[in-house]
Amino acid sequence: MTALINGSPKLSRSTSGTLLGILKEHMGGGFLETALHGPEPGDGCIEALAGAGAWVFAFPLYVDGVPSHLLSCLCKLQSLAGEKRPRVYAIVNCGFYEGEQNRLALSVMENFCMRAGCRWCGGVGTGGGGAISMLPRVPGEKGPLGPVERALRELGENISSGAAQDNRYVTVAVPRIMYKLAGQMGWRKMIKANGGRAGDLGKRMS
Amino acid sequence: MKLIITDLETLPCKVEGEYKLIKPAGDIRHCVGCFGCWVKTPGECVIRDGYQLTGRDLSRCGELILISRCVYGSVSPFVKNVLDRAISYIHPDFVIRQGEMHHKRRYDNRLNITACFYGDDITPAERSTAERLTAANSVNYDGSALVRFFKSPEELREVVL
Repeated sequence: MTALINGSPKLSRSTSGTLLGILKEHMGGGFLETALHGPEPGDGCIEALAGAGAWVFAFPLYVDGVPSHLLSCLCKLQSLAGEKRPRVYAIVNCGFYEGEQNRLALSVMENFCMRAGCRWCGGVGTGGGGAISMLPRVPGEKGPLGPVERALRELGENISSGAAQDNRYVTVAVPRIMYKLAGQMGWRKMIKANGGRAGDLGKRMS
Repeated sequence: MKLIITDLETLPCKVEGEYKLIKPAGDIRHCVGCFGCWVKTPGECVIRDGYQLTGRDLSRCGELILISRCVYGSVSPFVKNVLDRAISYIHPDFVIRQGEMHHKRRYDNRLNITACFYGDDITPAERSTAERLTAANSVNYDGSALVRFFKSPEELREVVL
């Protein structure tokens, strides 16, 4: 059994959830879903992890690393990981364009495994996280999400076969300048929707 | 001014000059990724638990000192929580810096980060991750970084920061 763990702090509509949704398409059966949205792993999550031979974490990059709530959970799950010795995989997404910017969060996950005594099996770091849930999916792993879909298919195949993989870094098939401009338009739209002005984005607190 | 963020109840070292200390005090809530600090109350976290103004505090200092247990090559959950809650220090817009996408500055001050990691069994891999993570933080903040390792908080007693 494989545990798919949504490690986003968001209870719904997270990019981590979207990525796990794509991964599931390549998993066949034999998986269960759980979540670590806060700093304490719930009893249900611990029970699910205790019965799983593989743990797949999906989470967003926060300040170059693992979000604090998930780091807290890892500390609390270390002894369980040492006892059950699962294979551990991770999918990290960041709002920057380059998937490589997730490399240090994947290093933290690998270090967790080394310390717990379980097996690090690699992961995927994807950039373009701000667009992943909004971009259309095109059949045949084509279109703007194609590179992400391919990386997740390969990861899913490796999880299913019990194989390890090197960390793989991908991003959305959209030019970086387009992604940057779309992101910045998005911030202006959001601040206006909250009653502010575009100029307030750069407000300085005195 | 120096801003010190630590997971210790008591500051173990001496500090020269003026400083502000952020240490565990009451409950701290974690960042929920709402981006309210960028689009609702720009510059300030929307969670009012006493830790909402760290982004502003970062703008007032020239040196950010992290004193933290090394946890898998990262700062500890408390210190990471404070940093996660302080992304309002930077602007949501993007810039390309050192060939990678990062966030634009909101403020003009330049942050020199000194990270003091403690732990009696930090592995070489964790040490490497901690060094690279602090360096990455400094690129994100558009500042500089210095990393030091200590066996225990007590070893910091003779240190002057």
